[in-house]
Amino acid sequence: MKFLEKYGFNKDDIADFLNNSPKKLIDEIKKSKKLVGENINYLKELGVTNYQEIFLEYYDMFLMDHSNFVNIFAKYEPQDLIEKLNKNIRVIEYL
Amino acid sequence: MEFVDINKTLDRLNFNEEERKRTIEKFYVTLQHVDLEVLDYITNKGVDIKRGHELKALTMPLSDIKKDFDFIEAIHEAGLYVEKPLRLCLNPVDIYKRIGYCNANGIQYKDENGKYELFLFNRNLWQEVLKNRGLGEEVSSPTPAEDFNLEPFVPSDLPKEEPVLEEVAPSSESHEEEVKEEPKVIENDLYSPDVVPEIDGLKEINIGDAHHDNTLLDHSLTDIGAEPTVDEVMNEYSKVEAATTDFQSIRADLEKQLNALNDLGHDIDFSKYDDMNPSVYEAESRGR
Repeated sequence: MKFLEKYGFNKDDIADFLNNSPKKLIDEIKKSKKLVGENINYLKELGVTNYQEIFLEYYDMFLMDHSNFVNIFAKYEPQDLIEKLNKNIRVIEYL
Repeated sequence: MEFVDINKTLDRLNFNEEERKRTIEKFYVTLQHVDLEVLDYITNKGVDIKRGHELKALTMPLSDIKKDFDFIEAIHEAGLYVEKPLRLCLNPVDIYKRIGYCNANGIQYKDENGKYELFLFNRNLWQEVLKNRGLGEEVSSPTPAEDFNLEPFVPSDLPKEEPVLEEVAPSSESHEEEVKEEPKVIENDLYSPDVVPEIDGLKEINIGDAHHDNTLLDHSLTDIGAEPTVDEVMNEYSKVEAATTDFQSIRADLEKQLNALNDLGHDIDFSKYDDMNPSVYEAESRGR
């Protein structure tokens, strides 16, 4: 999971994530590092400041195909989306 | 990946149409790994999966889920899974440690509605709690048992094979190894070259003197930190001392005890007691 450090995740967060996530999904993430990285980067570049928190909570969502992942967020006005996600990341469940 | 009929899973979940659609869109990979036996088990425990992102819990091995439930039920906190199924993915030992810490320090870990505070389940939030109390960062699990600083928990009804806590490492694992080692073979000769210098060093002490509590063996055992087995040896020695004034008998008994200590693997250096002037001895013992 070292690849997560490229996106600003610290080692403690990564260790905590590995310790508290199902192995099957961790294996899927490891198999799809490039895809997961692309999806994380999309949120980061969109301007979502708490993208790390979103990943640590909804990591399996980042296994989506990249274009489908982008489509989920592209439907909304970016600034409004960023504000709402900053207030409460559970908004993701309803997108 | 083996084809998995996700519709079968979705039918079992009773999601509404909107949630079903969102789940397929966002959590398709997770759906591939859902174990319906886990779903049956947790449903019987009163845990409902209501949202797509909670499906992660159903990808855990059933054996782990059962262990976690057993553990959490043993500490009477099964409500935390009912409240939020995703907590099944968390390490229950971390949660237990935090609950224990809260109990020990009078921190409320449930709000006024009886819901568990989020800091129990989030490392960063928990760090804030510790910082507010002026303590250092939490050590991530799994931790050595010596890092525990919580009220002891005795899971009397927990299955014996459950690794509730890491076993406390024995204070001296090497001691166990020493005990198991083959005993050193020492020639059964009171006057063998290895033993004579040590025994000769005993000459100046009046071992039979009842006023002398500070015997050679006593000091040596104090030096090395007497262990129960050696205390037993000392008890035996005291009995011998009381029973006989015969110097040779006492000497023979001391020899046996020295051998017993060597058998335990102690490499005791008695050479400093070569000068067995009792006054030197007394001075040394007062210096401790």
